[in-house]
Amino acid sequence: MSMTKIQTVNLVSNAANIEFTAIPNTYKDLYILLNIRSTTSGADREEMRMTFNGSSSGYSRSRGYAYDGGTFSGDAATGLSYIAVGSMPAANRNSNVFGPNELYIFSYAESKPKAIHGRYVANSDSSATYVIGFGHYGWSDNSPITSIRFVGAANSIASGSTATLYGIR
Amino acid sequence: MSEKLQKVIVNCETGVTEYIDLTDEEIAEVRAREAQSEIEMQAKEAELAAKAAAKASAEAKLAALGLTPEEIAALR
Repeated sequence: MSMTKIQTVNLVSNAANIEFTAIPNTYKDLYILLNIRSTTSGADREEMRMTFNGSSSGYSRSRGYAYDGGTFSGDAATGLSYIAVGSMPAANRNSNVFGPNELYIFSYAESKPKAIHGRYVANSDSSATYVIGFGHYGWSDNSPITSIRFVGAANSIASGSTATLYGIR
Repeated sequence: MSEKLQKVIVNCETGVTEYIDLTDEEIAEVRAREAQSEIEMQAKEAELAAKAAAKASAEAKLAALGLTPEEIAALR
């Protein structure tokens, strides 16, 4: 297996969303590494969402996460309009705290439904506000993935956040 | 969110990254997400408050039955 960096972005200002477009179909799988932070000040963290090809249908999830002092929760759902792939530390967290999030997309260029694995951490500096999670996701669409968009639940992705897309052969 | 809203497009074919102002339609989508997020946050807070109240009520009833704090803690 070999991994090639396709593109990376380091935000120089806040962004409502980040989107990788014109993704080449020459790899077997995709790997995405995010190190992100939200502009929200109304909570300790904010949900990060992902969609493919501008589509808002056909997503599913099975996930688990520990948070806020040790509570564990999890759920499964289908018929979703996006995938909630993780959580971003909020603007009121320590300024150097970003949330790592990694995603692996299998057979993205094939004409069949897609499978994704992911895991993430946010607010690892605080036992009271942290969240550590993992998930297995699906997209029932048969279209090859040519674009991937990341967006917060309500607020922008903060300046200094990074997103890197790798191709796997 | 009073700052100018932009989206970031990373074109993997050209290698060009662009910061583009959101259209009015895209701004409306952001505002709708903000409103929905506020609704969900309030619902979550209400759910947590209800759970905490039910837990306190259950513990008070157990104490009234004669259970010690240690025995109540052992049931958690």
